[in-house]
Parts: sequence; structure tokens; C-alpha cells
Amino acid sequence: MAIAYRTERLAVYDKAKEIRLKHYRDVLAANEEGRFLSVGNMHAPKEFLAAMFPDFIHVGGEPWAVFVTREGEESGLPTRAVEAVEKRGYTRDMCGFMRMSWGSMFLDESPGGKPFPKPRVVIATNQCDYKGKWSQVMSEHLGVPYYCVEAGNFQADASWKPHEPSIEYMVGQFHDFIAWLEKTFEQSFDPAKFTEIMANTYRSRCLWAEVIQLQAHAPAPLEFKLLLPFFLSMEYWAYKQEIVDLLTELRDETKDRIAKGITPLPEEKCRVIHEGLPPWYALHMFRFLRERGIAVVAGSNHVMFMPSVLNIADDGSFDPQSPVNWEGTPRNLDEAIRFRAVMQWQSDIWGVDPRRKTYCLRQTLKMLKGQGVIFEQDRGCEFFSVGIPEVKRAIQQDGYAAMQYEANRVDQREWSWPHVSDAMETFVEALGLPRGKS
Amino acid sequence: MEHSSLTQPFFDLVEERHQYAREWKARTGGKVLGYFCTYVPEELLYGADILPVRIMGGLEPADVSEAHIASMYCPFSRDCLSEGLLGRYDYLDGITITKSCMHIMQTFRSWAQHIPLEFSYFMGMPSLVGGRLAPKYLVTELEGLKKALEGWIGREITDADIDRGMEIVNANRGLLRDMYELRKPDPPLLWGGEAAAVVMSSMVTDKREHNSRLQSLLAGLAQRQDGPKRGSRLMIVGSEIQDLELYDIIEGGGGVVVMDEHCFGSRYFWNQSRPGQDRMGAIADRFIERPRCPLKDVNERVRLGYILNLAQEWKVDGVLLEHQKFCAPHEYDLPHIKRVLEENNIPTFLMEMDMTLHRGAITTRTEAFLEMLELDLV
Repeated sequence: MAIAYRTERLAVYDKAKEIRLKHYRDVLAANEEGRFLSVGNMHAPKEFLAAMFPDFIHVGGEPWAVFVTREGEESGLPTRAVEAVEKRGYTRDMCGFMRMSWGSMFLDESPGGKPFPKPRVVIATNQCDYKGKWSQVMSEHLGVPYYCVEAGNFQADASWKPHEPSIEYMVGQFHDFIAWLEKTFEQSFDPAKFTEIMANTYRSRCLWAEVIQLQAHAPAPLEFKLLLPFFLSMEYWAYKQEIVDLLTELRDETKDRIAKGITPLPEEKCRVIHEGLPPWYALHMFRFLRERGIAVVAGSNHVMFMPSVLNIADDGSFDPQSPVNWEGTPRNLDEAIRFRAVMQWQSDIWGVDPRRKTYCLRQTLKMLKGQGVIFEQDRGCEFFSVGIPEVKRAIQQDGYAAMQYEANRVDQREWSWPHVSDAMETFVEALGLPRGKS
Repeated sequence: MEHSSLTQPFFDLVEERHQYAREWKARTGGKVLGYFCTYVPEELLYGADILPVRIMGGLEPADVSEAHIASMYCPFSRDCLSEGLLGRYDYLDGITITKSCMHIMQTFRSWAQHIPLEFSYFMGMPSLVGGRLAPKYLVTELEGLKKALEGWIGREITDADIDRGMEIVNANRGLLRDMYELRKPDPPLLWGGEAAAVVMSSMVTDKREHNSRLQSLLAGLAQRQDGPKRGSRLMIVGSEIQDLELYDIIEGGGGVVVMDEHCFGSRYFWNQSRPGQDRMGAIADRFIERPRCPLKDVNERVRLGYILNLAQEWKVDGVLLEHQKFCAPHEYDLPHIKRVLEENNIPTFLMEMDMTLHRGAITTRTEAFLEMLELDLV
């Protein structure tokens, strides 16, 4: 499959990066500017606060950990941060994102030397074994109120159809959350604003789904590394109009790239999926693969956001290539709150149930014409790593090439590029390609 | 360590649990349901005439489960799966779990996939047990389990059945509490290892039989002459501690374990369900109110004060904080438990565990801690 394609920079990429950097500039200036700052996991119910406080800004612990890992490197902050956590008696096998965030908090240090951004409140969705406890410790250390909502990932079968008792449980909790916020901060919740916020979230997801569907084109117009800042925007700030605009631009430019035959790789010899998020200090691995003509087109963690805007069949299955359901955009408070519960439930179910991961990966491989899978087994993220041996076995039994590497998304002390690159060279051969740069 | 004739039968029940279950099946014609976490409602299972058995590890290196669960997950979860894959639980008719940690839920999923049985059921269990909506949600989930069980056993589980199940299980819980009260005197009337064997055996024995053995034991304990002598009074706090040899090491070194707070100990049985008209509500309330696993202690902290109260009430001299490798939920709480206990002048000692005991290391460290307690150096 060695064909030379036209490569060109993705024009909207810099805008995505700038949005991310602006966010952190805003976070670091938030207290000085008197903005309402919250901290918690990325998927905390921040949309509810956005509907109450016009100057609201949320610091998601996971992207904060990435920010510390990448932007704090020069001052040695990442290593000092994780060591600060260990000095307090916590172990190294705990969630990597959490340790990095905590470390920054315990040291009261952000990249660039400013203090850790002290929030008015800590909020969380308890989507894995960590998120609730992580936030609990933060609220205790920072001395601020804390509220946790439980992700209702209680379903006996492997269906993607929303499990109504779980959804009802989450919806009820969201109503309680609104009441708590109004009482704690003596501020009114704006149902119309929240509806618009969730409508934006829905639209962002629809646009994201369309972009991933466009990735099915061969050659792929985008690749995993290019998708990263957009993926972050979609996960983190989907409720903002500027993200709807960003993703609209991404979708339109992706279509344009397909029409003009523009790809990120001059040669697409092979298409693979990367499962899990890569170690943020080692994104050079994508260049390594690119040099060998391997397009890393996406991962099932990109696809798992799609069911919330697609039609789910009666048997609980979904086809990621089915038309995006723009009609499902929330129009009132009830629909908005329900959508918030459904989107949380579906992503969390993906995380904790290997059956859904396997299904989602199979759908991803089929849609994106993948020929192999790179599994990242992250020692610092049990949620993403749950069930990987079973998922990998299933994929290999389906006939796909698969490799696995171990890493820790933020803790560089657990990274060994010689080992990983050696495994990748073997994987390249398993894909039928010669070792070394093409 | 040699065990007293009073308590040896309980050690035998743990050791020979598979044989017991097979014999129970042959004797009664009933179904045996394996479960993975103590948040499973045994009241319903006894009401359904099912024998619930806690799936335990074999305390061997979990080689065969490596292909299913990565080694970054806790040894207990991998060891349990290994036991299943090695066929040691071939008598099980079904398995069940309630929403628990990601580690053991993997065990359940892999077991259901690779060791298919006629029944496997996942029941939701709230983590935010202190939340306003948790009881109502839990009742919904209990109703779901009940319905699934009825489909499996082919009959309705009536109110009278649930009452009967509640009575059987509550009786066992009450007797175990009575036994723990006998650990308050100085010296206590039984060794920590003995207490642990009694509790563990209750998880793998028909509780009707266990109740009558336990009643005999309690009567016998009052008369025993071969009980512990005075020594440093210890408490063990942790996750899954099923290796009884650990107690031999600790108590062979001069200490005596008088209390615990872990999944194979008091957390399993501490409170009872309150019989009443609303049976499901009663079972739900028990789970809401029971001593919390750290996974359930997510909003306001309840566990720290609870552990401190137990340590003070049982007048412990020191606490062993058991840390199962890679056990994330407990890893969160351990530094805080240590802090609270030490702020209240209760020394602690952290002990990292795997499924196989590092006998030499644990012996050395435990003896050092006991010496320090005796010399009042901590």
C-alpha cells in the first residue's frame, strides 16, 4: 500500500493548541481576576457550574497532569511532583494523572512557577476507583467544599443502550447537585443556559463523530497525534461555543483534505489503531511510526464518545458509521440533564467492561480499516488498562496484528523507549513491513 | 502454629472448602453460587436455598491468570481467577458480583467468559452510599438480582424466604459479633488467627451449620485453658487478608491480634439487616450502614473515625496496616488511617502483602514492631 501522498499542515491545528494554552493561562490568572474556579476530574459535572457562573473555569485533574508533565519539564516539576506524593505515603502504582495533579497541589507549584490554582470548589464524577477519592483528598488539602456524583455504571449486559435505572440514578443526583450548588454558593442555576451548554456538548460530539467517520477514508486525512488537541477540546470543553466552532472547522477542513488528497503521511503503508492515551512525554513514538509509513488513525477511546449521538439498535449495538443523530440535540432542561447522564454512563461503561472495549475496538477497526492495534497498557491508569489482555486476545483471534507496551502516562521513571521501540519494530514486521525507516 | 481442638474444625473448613461444597451439593441437591465481594446480599441467596461461597485465592503465584489480568492489578483478583482457571471451583453453578473495584470486576468478567456457568450476574452497588438516592437505587438493583435468581432456580423467592434467609445470616453475624466481644478482655479468649479462621469459614460453609458450630465454640471458649497469654494487642486494617499464616507469624512473635477491619474480617459481618415489612429496603439499609470499604467512603469520610473507635474500644497497642500490592482503594486511605491513629497515640506499622507471604521479611519486621511496642519506643 505504498503510495506517495500530498502532505500539508492541518490549518486548524494551531487554533486547537492555542485554545489549550489559553485555558491554562486563564487558569493561572483566574484567582487574580476573581473568576470562579473549580477543580476535579475532567468529566466532573462542570457544565452545571458553567450554567451558574459566567466567569467559570474548571481545572480537570487529568489535563492538568498532562500540562505539568509537558510544560513543567524544564524545572523538573513532574518528578518533584510525584515524589512529593510518595513522601506523603502514597504508592507509585496509584493513578498517574492523580499523582501528578496532587504533586502540583502539594508543592503549591504550577509550570512556570506560579502557585497551584486554588479553587472555590472540588467536584467529581466517580467514574473509576480513583476519581472520587482523588477529589476527596484535594478538597481536604485545599479546605474547600466538595461534591461527588456517582457515575451509574451498573449494567449486567454489554448493551450500549442506556441502562435506565443507572440514568435515573444519575439524573436524580444531578438535581441534588443543582440544589447543593445553589445553597452553597447562593447563586441561581440557569436552566436555559444549561440547556444551551448541553446542546453545545451534543453538537461538539456530533462534529467529533463526523470527523472520526471521515478518518475511515484511505488515506486517512488526519492521524492520532493531530487529533490530540481536538480530542482534549471535545472531552474537556465541549460545552463551549468556541469548541463547536473549532470542531466545525476541523470537520470542514478534514473534508477538504479528503477532496484534495492531503494526508499527514506521504506514504500510508499500513493503518493501525492506538488503544489508550499515549505517554505525554513520548509523543515522538508517532513520528517513529510515521517514518515507517504507519498511519495511526485513531483509537476506540475516540469512538466511545460516539454512541451518545448515534442511534443504538434494539440489541444494544451501534454502527459508528451510521448517520449522526443531530435531531437528538437537547431542547429543554430534562433532555439536557438526561443527555449529561447518558454521555457519562456510556463512556464509563466503556472503561470498566472489557466486553464493551472489545466491541468498540472491533467497530473501530472495521470502520477505520485498521490492520493492527497498539495497546498501551498504562501502569498509571487502571481504567484504561482494564481488560486489555482479554481485548488483545480477542483482536488477535480476529486476525489482527497486535502489540502491547507498558508505560505510565505521566511518570517518566517508568518509560523505556529502547524496549518500546524494539517492540514496535517487531510489530512493524508483523504488519508485513520492513524494519527501520522507509 | 498448632491450633486448639476448639478451633481446628474452623481451620479445616477453610482448608477443605472445596470438598465441603461438593459434599453439600451432593447432600442437598442445591446450587452453589460463588461471589467475589462482601457486598453480595446473602440474605437473598439463603432465601433461594443457594449456598453462597466466597471465592478465595489459592495463595500461589497467579501464573495462569497473567494472560487475562495484567500484573498491575491486585494479587487477590489474579489469584481468584487462577483458582477458577485451574478448575478448583468446578462445583460452582454460578457466580455473582456487585459493583466493586475494577480489579475484582475483571476477575468476574474473565471468569464469566472463560469458565461459563449456567448463571452469572452483575449487580449494581452504589459507591456513594451516603447519598440521598443510594438506598432507592440499591433496592432497584436488589429487585433485579432477586428476579434473576428466581429465573435461575425456577421459583419465586417469597417474603417468607427472605425472612428465613435474613434470620440465618443475621444469626451468624450476631454470633460472630459475640465472638469478637470475647477478644476485648486482656488476654482475649481466642487468638486472632482463630478468629480469622472462624470468620473465613463462615464465608464458605452453610451458615445454618456454621451457626451451630459457632454456638458450641462460644460455649467452649468460656472454659478454655489454652487461650492466648498477655501480649501486645494488635489490630489489622486492610483489604483482603486470607492467609492465616500471617496470624501465625504475628502471634508467634509475641503479639495477639484482637481486632481487625478488613474484607475477610469484621467488615464482612459487623451489622445486621433489620427485619421488617420492607425486606429489600432492610437489606439495602444494611449495605448503606455497614462498615465501609474505601470505595464506598468517597464523599464525607466515615471510615477513619470508625477504625479509630474500634482500635480504642478493643484497646489495641498497635495497628498493622496491611497493604495489598496494587490495591488502589486502600492505598488512598492508608496514609490517612496512619495519621489519625498516630495522632491518637496508636502506633502503626505498614506491611506490604502479595498473595504469597514473604515469611522472612514479615517475621523480621513484625518482630521489630512488637519489640518497639514492648519497649514503648513508638
